[in-house]
Amino acid sequence: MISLYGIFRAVGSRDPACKKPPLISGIFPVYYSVISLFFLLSVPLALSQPFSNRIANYKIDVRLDPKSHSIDASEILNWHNESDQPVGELFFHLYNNAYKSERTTYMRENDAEISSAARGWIDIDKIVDQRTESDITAAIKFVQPDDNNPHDSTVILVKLDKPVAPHDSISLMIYFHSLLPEANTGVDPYGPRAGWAPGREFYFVAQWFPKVGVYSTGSPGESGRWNCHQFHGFTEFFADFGAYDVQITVPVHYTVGACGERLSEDVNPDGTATYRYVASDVHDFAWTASPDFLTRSRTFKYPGLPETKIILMLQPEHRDQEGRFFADIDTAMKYFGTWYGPYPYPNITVVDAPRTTDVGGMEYPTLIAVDTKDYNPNDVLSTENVIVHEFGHQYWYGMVANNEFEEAWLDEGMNTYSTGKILEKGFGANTSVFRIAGVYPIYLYPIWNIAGIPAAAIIGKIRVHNPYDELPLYLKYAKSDAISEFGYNVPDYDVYETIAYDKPALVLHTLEGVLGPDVMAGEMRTYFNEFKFKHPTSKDFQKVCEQVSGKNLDWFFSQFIYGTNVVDFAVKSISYYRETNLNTGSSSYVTKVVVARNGEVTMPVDLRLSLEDDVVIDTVWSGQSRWQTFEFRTQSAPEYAQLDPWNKIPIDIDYSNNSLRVDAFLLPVVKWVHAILNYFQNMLLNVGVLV
Amino acid sequence: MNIGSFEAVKVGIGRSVKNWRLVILVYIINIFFAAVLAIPIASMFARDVSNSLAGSNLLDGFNSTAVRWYVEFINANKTFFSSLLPQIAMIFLLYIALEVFLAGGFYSVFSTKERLKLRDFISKGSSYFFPLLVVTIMEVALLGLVYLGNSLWVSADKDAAGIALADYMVLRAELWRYGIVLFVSVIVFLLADFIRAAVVIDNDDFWSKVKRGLSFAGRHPLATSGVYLSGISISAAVIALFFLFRFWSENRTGIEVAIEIVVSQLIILFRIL
Repeated sequence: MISLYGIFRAVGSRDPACKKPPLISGIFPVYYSVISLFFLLSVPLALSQPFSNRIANYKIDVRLDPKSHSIDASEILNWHNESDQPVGELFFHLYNNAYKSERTTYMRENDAEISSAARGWIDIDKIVDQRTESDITAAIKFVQPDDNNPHDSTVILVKLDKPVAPHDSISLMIYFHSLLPEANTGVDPYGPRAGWAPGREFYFVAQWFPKVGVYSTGSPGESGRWNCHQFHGFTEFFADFGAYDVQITVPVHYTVGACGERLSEDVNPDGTATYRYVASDVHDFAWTASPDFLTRSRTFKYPGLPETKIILMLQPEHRDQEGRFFADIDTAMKYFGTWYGPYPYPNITVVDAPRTTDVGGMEYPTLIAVDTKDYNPNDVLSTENVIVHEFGHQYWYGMVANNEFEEAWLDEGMNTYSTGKILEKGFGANTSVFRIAGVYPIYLYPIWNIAGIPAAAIIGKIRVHNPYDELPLYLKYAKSDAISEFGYNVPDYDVYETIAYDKPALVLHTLEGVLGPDVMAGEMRTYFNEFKFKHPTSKDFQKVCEQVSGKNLDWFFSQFIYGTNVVDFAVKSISYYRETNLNTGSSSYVTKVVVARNGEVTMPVDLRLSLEDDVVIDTVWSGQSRWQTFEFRTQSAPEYAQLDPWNKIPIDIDYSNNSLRVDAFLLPVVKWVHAILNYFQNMLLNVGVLV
Repeated sequence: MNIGSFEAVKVGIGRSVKNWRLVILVYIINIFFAAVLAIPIASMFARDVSNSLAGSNLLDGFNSTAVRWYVEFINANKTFFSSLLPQIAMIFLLYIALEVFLAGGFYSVFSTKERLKLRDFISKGSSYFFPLLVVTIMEVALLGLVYLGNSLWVSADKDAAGIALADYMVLRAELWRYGIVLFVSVIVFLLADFIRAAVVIDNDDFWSKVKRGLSFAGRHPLATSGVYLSGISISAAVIALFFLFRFWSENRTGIEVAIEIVVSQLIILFRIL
């Protein structure tokens, strides 16, 4: 296998100075026959028992040139046409072209500027159809299926001389080179999540190769279509599963990490080293290289779950956080494994990205990029949050691979929901990433809005988990758009974050409240197991929920996933009188509670009447009408009425109007009115320092 | 004027106690202005929670349910809070003007061992109001320049090599920078205070007084710095106590709420002192 690869490199690799590969037409037939044979043999050997349909398979040979921040590569794509129709053209993503200028769709949607030194791009030098040995480079056409932006070159269409027959495959040999972008361009909220780090020898190479789109086979009788969106400002990715066999050549003193498993490493006479990685049943491949990494590894072990090798690639200044990283990834693997299903890959690589880049906080199959702070007290759970969240993407994105362009909530929302639950389970209920000595230092924050953001958004940094940390942004953008809207169709990142992360997490917590935690756990587990290594949609998730719960949930999904209405239940009034039975002489209390539906969402909600003798009476209001009066006849006087006493509907936009006391309780009012007064007293004294 | 820094602090506190009525006057002014700012928010708050169960949660400190209430409260009233900002700015300006007025009286108080009558205090305050206002405006302008310089320095750093630094190095650089800004600010405060003292005590024209104040500060750097450092240390200790107390005060009973209120107000009085 190594020697075959040596032949491949000798013939197929290029002089870095020469961008155009030599055309050795005379040996093409033999050469490609050998390569194809090798490809067919080597990839299945990597994993004998395929988990997925392996539609898009890649064999890539890439060389990094740190001096110019560029890569030079060749790629063999083996693509399988699963449909019943011939396919005459292929669509490819060229994601790196998003950083080519300020006029690309990605940059325009981020309203961003990018200096010429920070830019990146990818150029295809040549494409050869291995079936016919014909050079089809001239058939490349840049297309902009989403916005017709002529300056965007993140998608290409390649017209084939000969269509790919139904259930047949095609192999393309693609030569390309790419300039990596600076992985921190100041683009808000995120710049390139890959590239080179300024001031450090650090490369994170992701979305870097010509990547074939997803050919949707369509319903029976319908023709298929390509799903290959441009690279947008906020949305992420979508690709078919396959097997990857990647050889990475870097300077010999670099440490390399990548998706999948390392099969070999060879030192070359030119001062470089070549590492070979294989990853199967994945839909992307990323890698990283730096001389600074401290690499550590351990084995994850937990009863009932398969052993997994954890490879941790730390920044040197974070060496003291090694134990914390391993503990966090252990926690994530334990809960994801036991709640949803075992992690099936042999390893997971955790890359600690320098915090001067935007690389941290991204997920790739079997590899996650995270970051941490240099001073990071144990009470500050930001590291835990990012590690658990990114590992969670191995499930929601990695294995259950929805279309992130179109239905980002299926991975980001589910993962935010799962992350919150795991943080609560693993690190304590109501834990916070900003807690000092067990107290939320609310006093440190101003009490009014800052730049239009409620102070709550600052508290959002506190991230009181499950499910309250999603509230600030949701409250601000509650009606901005439906969860089902395509991510690239929303006006800005905050709205995207709301419909992809925060609102879906609140919706899932609400669904859990409606159906009960056990049913919800069953739904999530079933959804994972039915759709791992597939491309599910919202409708698939709804179907699973209905199957597991045995209930029709159209009312729930139509309002929360496909609608923009909000929930706001309120207790409008509570009053009572004492009634004496003249015949028996006994007396009772008659309490009238008026409840109202201020929001448009209709759903059942629990109503509780609490009495002075600690007795509670629970009932359910259908929540269909705008208001309703409930009458209770009791032996003791009422104390308060409360809607949703168990907080089953955390998506309610105003929880403080969910309850009403018969008598005012003034102690907290006194405490907090004084706190507000005292705050201003201190502020005035601080200003008085000037005089 | 030959007096050690700690001695100066001791004498200052002694004279404040002797003129306790003035301290009470400042306290009343402080609480009045704070009340003007707090009442609209407080009344809205009272309306929102007095009959809601959210109140009970808030009594326990900021647990997650209270955070949830807070988030909703701010969100529901965001227009109102935004509209408060100009009002807050105006009250702060008025407060500073009043402080400038009082400063004339205070410098007179501290320049004499005798207890000053309220009439004299007000008379001194009005005599020196405009010169002291000019000093304060100069002080604010100078501080503005310091902070502007700092922000330019920060952005220049980020544009250059700063971005390439590892996080801890950035933090270290920031600490140095803020240390320097703090030091320069203290020097500005210091100079302004001596100029104010010279304005009140001496009888020369305004600019001579400014020169005299600067010259005094230059001749007695240790003493003057000592006064400031003592003041800063005391203030820092008081503020630290304040926050520690706040962290501790997760009140549950009426007595505890009462203790919190009394202690908070005593801290305010001490800060005024």
